[in-house]
This record gives sequence, C-alpha cells and structure tokens, in this order.
Amino acid sequence: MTGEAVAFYALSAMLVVSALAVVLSKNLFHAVLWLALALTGTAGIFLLLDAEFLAAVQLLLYAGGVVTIVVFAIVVTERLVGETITQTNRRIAGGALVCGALLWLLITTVLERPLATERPIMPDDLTKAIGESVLTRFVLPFELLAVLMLAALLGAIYFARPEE
Amino acid sequence: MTFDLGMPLLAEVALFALAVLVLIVGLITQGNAHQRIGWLTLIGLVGVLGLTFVATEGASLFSLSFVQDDFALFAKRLFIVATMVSLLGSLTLRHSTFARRSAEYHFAILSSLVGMMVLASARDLVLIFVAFELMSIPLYVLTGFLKRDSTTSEAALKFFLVGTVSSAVIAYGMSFIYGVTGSTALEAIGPALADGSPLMVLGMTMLFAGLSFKIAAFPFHMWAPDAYEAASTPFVAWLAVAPKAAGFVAIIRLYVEGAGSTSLMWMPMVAAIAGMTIVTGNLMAIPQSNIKRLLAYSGIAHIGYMLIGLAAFSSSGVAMMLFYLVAYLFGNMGAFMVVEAVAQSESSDGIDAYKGLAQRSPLLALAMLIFLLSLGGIPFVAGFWAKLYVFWAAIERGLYGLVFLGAVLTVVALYYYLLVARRMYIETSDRTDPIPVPGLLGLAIVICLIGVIGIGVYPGPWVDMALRVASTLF
Amino acid sequence: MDGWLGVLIMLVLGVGFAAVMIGLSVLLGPKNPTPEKLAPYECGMPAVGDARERHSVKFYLVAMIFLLFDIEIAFLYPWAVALRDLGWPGLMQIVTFFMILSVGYLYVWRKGALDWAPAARARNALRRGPRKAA
Repeated sequence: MTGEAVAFYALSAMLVVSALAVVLSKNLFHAVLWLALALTGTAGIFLLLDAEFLAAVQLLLYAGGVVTIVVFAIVVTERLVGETITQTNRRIAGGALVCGALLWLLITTVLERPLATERPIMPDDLTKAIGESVLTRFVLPFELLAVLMLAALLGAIYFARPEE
Repeated sequence: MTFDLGMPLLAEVALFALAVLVLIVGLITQGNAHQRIGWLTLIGLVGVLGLTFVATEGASLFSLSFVQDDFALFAKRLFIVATMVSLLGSLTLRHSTFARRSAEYHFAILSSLVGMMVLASARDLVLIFVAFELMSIPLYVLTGFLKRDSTTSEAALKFFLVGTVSSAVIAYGMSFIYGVTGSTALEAIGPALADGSPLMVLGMTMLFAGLSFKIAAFPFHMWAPDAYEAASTPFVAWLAVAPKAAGFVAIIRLYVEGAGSTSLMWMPMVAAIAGMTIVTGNLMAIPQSNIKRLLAYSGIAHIGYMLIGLAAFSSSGVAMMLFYLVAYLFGNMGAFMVVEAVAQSESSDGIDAYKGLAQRSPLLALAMLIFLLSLGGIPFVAGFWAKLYVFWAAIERGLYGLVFLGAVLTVVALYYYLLVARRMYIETSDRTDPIPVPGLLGLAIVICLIGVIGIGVYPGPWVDMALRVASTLF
Repeated sequence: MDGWLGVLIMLVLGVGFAAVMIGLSVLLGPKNPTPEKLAPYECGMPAVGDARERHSVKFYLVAMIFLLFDIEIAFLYPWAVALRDLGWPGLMQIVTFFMILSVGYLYVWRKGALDWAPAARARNALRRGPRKAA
C-alpha cells in the first residue's frame, strides 16, 4: 500500500468513527466536538486529492465557522445547556436498516462498473482554475449565492432577534 | 453588450433590485409600512411581468446554462401571477407582525421568487441547486414568520429540517452525476444514461427523491399539512402553488430535457409515485377538520395527478401537466383566499366555521363551491379539463391502471370537497351576519374565479399554449 | 504535494511573531493589575459561576454574521489568484458580490443587531424618541 492509501484509510476510519459519534453521543456538546473532528477529516481527504483550496475552505468555514455557530446555538439555548439528551430513539433500528441498504446499493453500483481510478489531467494551479470558472461560466450561481446568503442572513436575524 | 429590454436575466435582476428597494424602504420607514411596501412590491411585479413578455425568446447565457426558452418564460409568468395573487391577499393582513416586519416578509417572498425565476431557465446542475436553495430558504422563514407559538415554530422547523435533508440528497445525487459525466451541464446527462452507467441511474434516482420532497409527493409529504396550518393563509396559497410548480420545472428540465432519449426509463418510477401520492393525499384529506389541512392533503393529491401527466413522458403529457398547473393555481389559490376571508371574520380555520355560509354570504359560498368543484374536477370548471387531459395523455401511453386509480380517487376527492359544501349549503348556523370580505381579498378571489371559469368554459387557447410550450422540450 | 516550504516558513513566522510580541509585552509593558485583568479570561462574561447558564442570543447573531462574511472572504482567494487573467470583468463580478452582501450588512447595522452595550441601546432610544413623539 502506498502512503497515500494508508492516509486515506486512516482518515476514512476517523471520519466514520467521528460521524457515528456525532449522532450517537449523549452530550450535545461532545457531539459538536466530534463534528469538528469529522469536518477536519473531510478536509484531510480533500488534501489527499490535491484540492488544497477546498481543504482550506473546509477548515475555515466548516471546522471553524459552522462548528462555532453550533456551539453558540447551544450556549444561547437554555434548554440544551448541560443537559444529557438522548439523540437516538426507538427508530434507530429502522434508520440503521435504511443506511445499510443505501450502503449496499452504493457498493454494488460502484462494483458493477468501477469508476476510472487514474486521475484526470488537471490544471497546474487548481485554485486559479476555480477562480476562473467561478467568475466566468459559473458567475450566475456565484452571484446568486450572494443573494442566497443575504436571504439566509435576514432569516437568521429575523428568528434570533427578540420581539421589540 | 448593449442594453435592450429583451435581454436574458433582466427580469431577474430587476426583481432583485425590487427586493433590495423593499428592504431599504422598510429600514427608513417608521411605523406601519405594510400597505406602502405591499403596493410597491405589487407594482414592481407588474413591471417584471411585463419584462417577461418583451424578453427575447431563445436567448441564452453562460454556455447554455441559462436559457430563455418558451418553457422558462411560461414558468416565470406562472410564478409571478401566483405571487401577485398572494400579495393581494397578504395586503389585507392586519396582524401586528406584518405591520412591523412587512419589509422582511416581502423581501423573503421576492428573493424566493428570484430563485424560482432563475430555476425556470437553469440548465446546469450547479445553477439548479443554488436556485433551488434560494427559493427554499425564504420559504422556511416565511412559514415561521408569525412566531405565534410553539406550533408555528415546530412547523417551520419541521419544514426546514425536511427541506435541508432533501437538499442534501439532491446535492449527493448531483455529485454522482458529476462524477460519471465530469460535467454539470444537463446535455451531459442523456448520453451518460444511454451508456447505462449504474451510478448515473442511482444519482438520478436520488435527485428525484430530493425533488419529491420539494413538491411534497408521497412518501415525502409529511411537512406540508403542518406548514400550511401554521403559516399565514395568503402565503400558504402561494406555497402550495409556486414552489411546487418550480419543483416540476426542475423535474422536467432534468428528466425530460436532460435525460433526452432515455427519459422513458423513469416512467415506472414516476407512475408509482404518482399513484401512491394520489391515494395518500385523498385518503388523508377525508378525516381532516381543519380546512387548511384538508387543502394541504388535497394539494398533495393534485401533485399526484400532475405526476400522471409527467409519467406519460410525452409531449402531450407534459403539456397537460402544465395546463393542470395553471388550473390548480387558480382553483387552489382561490380556495385559500376564501379561507382567509372566513378566518379573518371567524378567527377559525375549522371546517365548522363554514356552517351556513350560504345564508350568511351567498357569493363567498358560491365562490368557494366553484373552487372546490374545480379542484374536484366537475365539468365546465378548469379542474375538469385538467384531469381529463392528464388522463388522456396517460392512456395514450398505456398507463391504464394509473388512470383507473386516479379516476376512482377523484370520486373520493369529490366526497370530501362536498363535505365542505354541505356545511356551507345544508347545515345552518346560529349566526346570520354576513362575512366581511376586504376589497383586495375580494379582488384576488374574483381573479381566481375568472381564471377557473374562463379556462373551464374556453380551455382551447390554454391547451394550445401548453402544447406549444411542451413541444419545444421534446 | 510540493511547494510546502512556503507554508513552513509562514508557520515559523506566525509562531515567531506571536512569541516575540508576547515576550516584548511581558518585558516592556507597564504593570497595573486590576481584578478584571487578573481574571483568566477577560471576554465580557464573568468567569466565575455556573458555566452552564444561558448566554445572550447576541453571541449567536455575531457568529452567524461572521460566518457569512467568512464565506465572502473565502471566495476572494481564487479570485485573487486568477486576478490578472480575469481583469476588469472579474473585478466587476466580485464587486457585485460584495455589494449584494453589503445590503445584508446595512440591514444588520440599521436593525441594531451589532449594538451590544446598554449605552448603544440608550442612544438609539434617545434618537428614536423625539421622532415618535412628533
């Protein structure tokens, strides 16, 4: 096994364990910390695939920003602070069944016709290529994203602000 | 690029500018700005609607990822008209939240509309996804807009969670498609499907599941009744029509245009979902005692009937689905506007509030009866032709079982619609005072009546238009 | 996976700069301790007491606003790398993106979601007061 493969399997194992811990841990705050680990592991996978920009964004926005938001959401919510909650319910068996079926479906689908394993030819500077495509062919979704974030910001403020 | 009124994206940009203007007016106005902002939005929408009529057909931008074809323009006009009818209704709302937060309300409606408009023209997976999100996120806010009590929050949260999960499923499905084709353009889907890639089929199936959430088809319909019950009725009237229509637009783009020659392979899946949606929606509507929940379940059933048209995967099938959408717009929105009028007077959404309505306000009761008959599919109102044509298109493709099922459940639907009619016409109430209908709400009801009866008596031009629009897709 | 030397230099510089600055302030800074300053953290919340109490919802709002502008910044990187090739059209696109989001900033600001201290609220009340009376 090459070093890359070892790193991939190690990161994957970390991802699976931490993702399971997110949904199974009894303490909400611990779940957030596991989430941070899972998101960091994803960044590691991106890095393995030579997607440096994506890895940086993943760390900056998800492991940094989103986790912070979730932490704040917990500390401002009275009912959740410090309580031990059960995240699972009686449907857990059903959920596991659906997840298992999906996994089986995915594996059989991929095995039926394996994807190309060699890497496609990529431009030298991926970040630059992203910048170019985002501001030319994908400029419309890009600007629309600004509108989307504006709408989301207003929505979040609308709900978070106490009534006057 | 020189400026002309027909250029693509102009309507969308104008709409966003209107949204920002509304927000700024809200920021600088002290006190109750609901009327001012509402009228500003309505008048602005008239202008945007005008822009869709001078738009250059066939124009496109960004390597065909944004196209202004017949189909896109049809969808855009439908969205704008639905929004205008809804805004007429919401102008009459006197709730204090609307007085203080009118700018936020209208901004959310308009930004969601921007998402729908772009979606109508989108022929690229990334653009479709972003436009879908832009459409959906304001809807979650608007559902919880009244912040009345825990029921409202619960409904908004339920809608939000289901909606976000469906978006995640859509994104996951899209990632498979991109993984196989290496492109986000819709043109790449057809060849990859024809090539028989199993991962591609899986991706498209997941995408369909995600989109089914958005149109509230079985088994992804659970959010609809709660959201409808909790939110303000004029908004619900819009929520039941415009975003669903947008979902259908995306489905048609992906599975008819995108899948191309392989589109028929989706027929069994769509037919199965259509059948289950019709059965669930209609059966669940029977025991409801809240009129908004009843209309929510009946709306789910109507989604199923539209899916019958889609399941035919033929030019006439899609055309009749579009025709059904127009008929559903007027019938459903009209019914919700009557609900709003009754609710404003009686402070109740219960079906019992309709007791003796025919004696108290004969015209309002008659309007409601006509809307319900249209939804039920009685001859000479719009809904009749819609159902008939959709069945016809399905029979052409040999979907006899589905049509039989749909026809049987139409009778069930008539039963619960007529239960409401019985309250209005046969049962009597202690109260005899007429129900006051605010002028603008009355106008919205009249517009819907004209639509329902006009299409019902003279469906020809609408059918021709739907056929023309659909023929460009095949 | 080459070209990581620059990252290493950056790391060394970053850690070194922080170490030097803290060292300098220990050596040269005036020492005027107050109980507030001696607290392990001085960040607006009392450090002593039950950690599991409810905090102001303002924290959440600030985090939310932070994330949005964080995303905005993230989009600057690829643009900056491709700056020369994209030229003026690229600049226009980025400026449009910023303008749209600054509408959100304007809204947040005017709605007072950034006001923190009671003083700011009092000031606003004073400013609004006469108009309401008029």
